[in-house]
Amino acid sequence: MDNIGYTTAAYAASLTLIAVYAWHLWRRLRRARHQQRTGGGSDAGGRSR
Amino acid sequence: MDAARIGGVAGVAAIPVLAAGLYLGLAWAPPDAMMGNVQRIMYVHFPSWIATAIGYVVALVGSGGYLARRSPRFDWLAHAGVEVGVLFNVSGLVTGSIWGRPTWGVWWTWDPRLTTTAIMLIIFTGYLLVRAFIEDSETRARVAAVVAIVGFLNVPIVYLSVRWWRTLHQIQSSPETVAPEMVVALRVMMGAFALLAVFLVARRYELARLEAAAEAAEDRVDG
Repeated sequence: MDNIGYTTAAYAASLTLIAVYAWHLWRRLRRARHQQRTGGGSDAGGRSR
Repeated sequence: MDAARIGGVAGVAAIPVLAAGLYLGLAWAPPDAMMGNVQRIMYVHFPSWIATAIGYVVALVGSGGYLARRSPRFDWLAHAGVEVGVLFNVSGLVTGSIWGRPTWGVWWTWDPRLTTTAIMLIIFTGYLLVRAFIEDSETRARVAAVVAIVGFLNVPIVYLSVRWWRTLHQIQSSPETVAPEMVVALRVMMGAFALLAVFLVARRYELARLEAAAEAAEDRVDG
């Protein structure tokens, strides 16, 4: 029962999910802000879906 | 205080609280008498559901607000809440599945609590798909708001499922029945995940605002 591997896997899975989403969100935000400053095309900001 | 500022404060606060929670949960709190160290999964599993609830409640408020006021700000808020809710919904299901294997002997079972949480994930993933398929921004916001409000009806069912049906999943614990150190570790991690949820919702709201501005500019160019 006392298998630390499961605990490690659960923490790694949860924190990785959050970190990957936060990183992806940060990239999308940076691109959208850049587009707003430069008035770039739809490729930069994407549509609000 | 605007969304960007709220997000910034929550994001900065989340880092030390999460670090403290990880220390308390992984090193300071004692192992469970029956499950040993596997029980420490609780400190990421349950906080994931707190953050899920924050996301979906924000979505409910945003959706209700949109239908009442027709302000796009509410739609951005609802969209942000659902996306962050789905993220933590996945985290809750994955960590629960990993915890289920050593304690129940299975990665997954069609237990009422597990099934209703999976249905909740499907509904709110459907919300994101609905948004992707509707071109007109007002129709999209209106339909999405209805989906979110109808989908939210499942949230109290998830909470009460362990009381309504005989389930493999335990009912809600009381702080009086567990070691005080476990309660402290759990509450700190709940705080950390709540701050992370607020941070991510605020940032996603900001992105939705920028995307809407880009969409409006694009529509003006298209004529």
